Amino acid sequence: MIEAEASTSSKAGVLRIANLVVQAGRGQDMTAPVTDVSLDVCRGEAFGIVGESGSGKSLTLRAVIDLLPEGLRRSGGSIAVRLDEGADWVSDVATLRGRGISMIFQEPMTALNPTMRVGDIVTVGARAHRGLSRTQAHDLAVELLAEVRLPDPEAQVRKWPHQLSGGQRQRVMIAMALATDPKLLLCDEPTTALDVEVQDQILQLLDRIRRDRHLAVIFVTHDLGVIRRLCERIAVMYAGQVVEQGTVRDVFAAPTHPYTAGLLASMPTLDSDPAHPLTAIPGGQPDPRERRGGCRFADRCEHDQPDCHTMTYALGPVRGHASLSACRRADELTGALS
Amino acid sequence: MTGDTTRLSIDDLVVRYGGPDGWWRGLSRKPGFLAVDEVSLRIPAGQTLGLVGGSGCGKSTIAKVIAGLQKPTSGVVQLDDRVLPERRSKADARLVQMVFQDPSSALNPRLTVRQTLTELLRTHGLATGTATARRIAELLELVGLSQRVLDVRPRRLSGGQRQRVGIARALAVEPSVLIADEAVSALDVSVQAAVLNTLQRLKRDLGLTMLFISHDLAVTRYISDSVAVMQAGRIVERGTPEVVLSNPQHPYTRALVAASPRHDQIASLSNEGVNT
Amino acid sequence: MTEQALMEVMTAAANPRRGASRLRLLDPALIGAVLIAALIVLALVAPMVSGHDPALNNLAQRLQPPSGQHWFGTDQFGRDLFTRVFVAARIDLLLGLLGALIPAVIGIGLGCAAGYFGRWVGTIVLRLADVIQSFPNYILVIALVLLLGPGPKSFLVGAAISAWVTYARLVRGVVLRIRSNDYIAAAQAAGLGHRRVLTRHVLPNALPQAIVYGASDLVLSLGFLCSLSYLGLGVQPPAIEWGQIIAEGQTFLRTQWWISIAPGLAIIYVGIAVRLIAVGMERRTTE
Repeated sequence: MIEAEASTSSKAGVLRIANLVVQAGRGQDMTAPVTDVSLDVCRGEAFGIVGESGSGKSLTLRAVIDLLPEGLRRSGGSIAVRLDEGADWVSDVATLRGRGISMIFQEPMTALNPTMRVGDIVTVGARAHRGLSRTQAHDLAVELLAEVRLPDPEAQVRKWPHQLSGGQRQRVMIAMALATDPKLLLCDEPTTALDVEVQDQILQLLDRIRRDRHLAVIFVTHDLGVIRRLCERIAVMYAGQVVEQGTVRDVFAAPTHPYTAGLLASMPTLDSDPAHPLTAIPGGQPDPRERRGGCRFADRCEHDQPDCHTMTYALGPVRGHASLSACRRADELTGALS
Repeated sequence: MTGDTTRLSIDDLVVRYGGPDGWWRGLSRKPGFLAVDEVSLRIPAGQTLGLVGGSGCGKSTIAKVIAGLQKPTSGVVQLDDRVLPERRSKADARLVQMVFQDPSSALNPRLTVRQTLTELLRTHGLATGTATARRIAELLELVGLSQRVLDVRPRRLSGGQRQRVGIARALAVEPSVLIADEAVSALDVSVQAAVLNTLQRLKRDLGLTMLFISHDLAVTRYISDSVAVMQAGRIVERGTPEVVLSNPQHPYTRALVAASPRHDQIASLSNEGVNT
Repeated sequence: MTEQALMEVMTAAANPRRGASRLRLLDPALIGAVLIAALIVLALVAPMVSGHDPALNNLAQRLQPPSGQHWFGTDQFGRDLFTRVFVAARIDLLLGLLGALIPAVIGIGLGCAAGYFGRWVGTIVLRLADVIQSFPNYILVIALVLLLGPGPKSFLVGAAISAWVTYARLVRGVVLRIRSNDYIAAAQAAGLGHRRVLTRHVLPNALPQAIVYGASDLVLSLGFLCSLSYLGLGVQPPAIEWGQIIAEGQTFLRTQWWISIAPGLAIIYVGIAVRLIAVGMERRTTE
C-alpha cells in the first residue's frame, strides 16, 4: 500500500500537478471548470480520478497533456513531469506527447482512423518518434497486439477498424499508446462505452500492462466499481475541485467527505435491499457560472453548517485517517460518513 | 407470484433485420441479422421484469416491438390476453409507453415541458381547459419535479430532470405497461439513485407493470421482481433476482454477476486485495 | 450537467460574441432587415422623392451623369435612373422572393417526406432530384420561354421545377437526423399520427436550417432573374427590372457607365443585406 501523501520527490514521482486552474472565457464571462487541483502520481502506480459528469476530471487530465478543447486553457498552477528517475522535472509537458506520455480515450468506435489499417494505426507514432523502418514497425505492431491479447496478431495487423468490435478497438488503442514506450499513461474513461464483460477484460489488461512495464497510469472515470478494481490511490472530484484523496481502501471503507459518502451510498449493489430507497444526493452539481463562495457541496450536504457556505477551499489531513479531505468538518463527521 | 394475472406477455418473438420480406422469403438466401430469436416473456400485473444484457443482445428491439415501434418478423404481443396489433390505433398506443435512454434526444428541443405534456393530454382527450393544468401539475408531482420546469425547454434541464419529464410524458397517457429502456444508464450515479427511487415509488403507488431494461445487473436487481438475462437475441437465464444472483447457471450471467459490485466489496477491501 | 454540456457551456463562455448584450445592436439580422426595409420604402416612394417619372422620355436630358437633378444620372432615353432603379426594386424583390419561396415550399415538403418515410418515397424524391439537377437551368428556362412566352411566368415555373432540389436534399438530411431522436419515437409511441408528428415535431426542428439556406437562395434567385431579364427572356418592358436596365446600359458601358452600374450596385446591396440576415439567423439557430 502506498502511503498517502509522502512527498513525491522522495518517491519515484512521475507527475506533479499543483493548484491547476482551467479557465474558459474572459472577463465577465469567465468560468473555471477546474480550480485549485493538486495531485501527485508515482512511478508504476494506478491513480484514479473519480467524479460525475461536469466535475472537471476529464479536463484535468487533458490539461496535463495540453489537449484542452477549443476555448479552454490552463490559467493557473503548474504541471511537471519527470519520466525517468533522476531526470529533471519538465514543465512543457506537451512536448512529451508520444514520447513518454500516452493517452487513451473513451470512444473506441471513433478513436481509430477508419482509413488506416490496424498495424499502421499502432505504429504511426512510434515511426514518427523513433524512426522505425517498415519491417521494424510491422514487428513492433505484432508484438504489441500480442501484448494486448488480440488473437492472431499477424492477421490483425492488416485489418481495418470497422472489422473490429469495440473491445478489440480499445485494445488497438492501448497498443498504439504503448508503441512509444510511455512511462505515464493517461486514460480518459476508456471502458465507459464498453459492455460489462469487455470492460472487465480491458481493466485486467491495463492492470497487467501497468505491472509488467512499471507504468504510471492515471484513470479518469465516473464508475466507482472500475476504480475499485484498478486503482491504488484516488482523488474524488466535485464541481472542479478535489474533495477527497487517499487510497482506494481508505476512501471506500471510510470516506472523509460527505460527497464521497453520498456517492458510495447511492450506488446500488447486488445486495442492496429493494425495500430501502437508495440514498440519493438531493439537487445537482452547481453550474460553474453560478458558483458562490464557500464549499461547493454545501447546498446539497446534509451536514452543512453556516460556516461551510463561506469557508475557503483547502484539502487537508483528517485526524485518524490517512486520506485528505476538503470538508472542514471531516474531523467531527468521521463516524457519520461511513 | 404464480396465479397473479399476467398483464403483458410475449410469445415466440422473432425479429430479423435485413432478411427477405414477404412473399419472396422462400426464394432469397439473404440471411439478415437475427436480433430477437424466439423470446417469450410474461410480466404479472403490477410487477417489474428486469431484462439485462449487453449491447446488441436484442433487449431494446424487444422494447420497441412491445411499444409498437417495430414490427416483429413473427410472434405475438398480448396485453391482458388481448393481442396487440403491429399497427397500433391511438387508443392502443396508450397502453404501452416507453422511457428512453438518452436525455438529450428524448424531448423535442423546441417544446417546453408544458407543451409536451399538453399535446399528449389533448391528443388523447384526457383533459381539456383548466383540467389540463391540474393534470400536468399532478404529473410533475408524481415524478418529483418542481412546477418551475413547466415553461422551460429541455436545453435548460439537467439529465435527471429530463428523464423525469420523460417519465411524466409516459405516464400522462395512463399506460398499463411502462418500459424503461436504459432509462437511468445515461445519468450520473447520484442522479440515477434519485430517479430509481422515483420509479420504485411509482411502482408502489400506481401499481405499474414495468419492463426495466438495462445492462447494469445491480440496478436491475434493485428494481425488479424477476430478472431475465439476454445474450445474442435469446434469453439465457431467468428467475427471481435472488435465485439468479446466488446461483447463476449460464456463463454470461456468471460473468455479469462477477463484474457487478457488492456492498461488502465496496466497503472493505480487506479480503480481496486491491487489484482483482 | 453532462461532460458534454459542460464543454459546450465552457466553449460558449469562451466565445465573447454570445450573450454579450452590447453586440445585440450589431446583430447582423437586424442590420440586414433594416437595409431591406429601407430599400422597400424607397422602392415604394421613389417617384415622389425624386420627382421624376421612371417612364418619361426626355431626350434633351439623355446620357447625363449623376447630378443634383438626376442622382443616378439618365439613360439613353433621358429617363431618370434613380427612379428607375428603385421602381425596378419592386419587381426584383418580389420575384426574387417568390423565386425562392415556391421552390422552398416544394423542396421542404418533398425533403420531409423523403427523410421521414424513407424507402421508396425517399428513393423517388432523390432520383427525381438527380434527374432535374442534371438538366441545365438556362436551357430549361429557354424552353419554357418558348412554351409560355417571355416574362415572370417562365422564370417562376422554371424556378419551381429546378430550384427545389437543394432544399429537398438539405431537408432530407436534417430530417433523417431528427428522426433518429427518441422524441420522435416517443411521439409515435404515444399514438400521434404521421401528420402530427411531421407538423409538430419534425418540421419545426427542420425549418431553421432550411430558412437559413433560403436566405442564400434568395440571392441566387435574384441573380437568376436578373440574368434572364438581361438576356431578354425575363421581365419585359414596359415593366422595369434591374437586369433589363443593365442590358440597356451595356452599349454605353465605357462612357456612360452609370446606367449599368446603378442596378448592379442595387443587386449587390440586396445580396449583402440578405446575407447579413442569413448570418444572423444562423447564429440564432445554433444557440
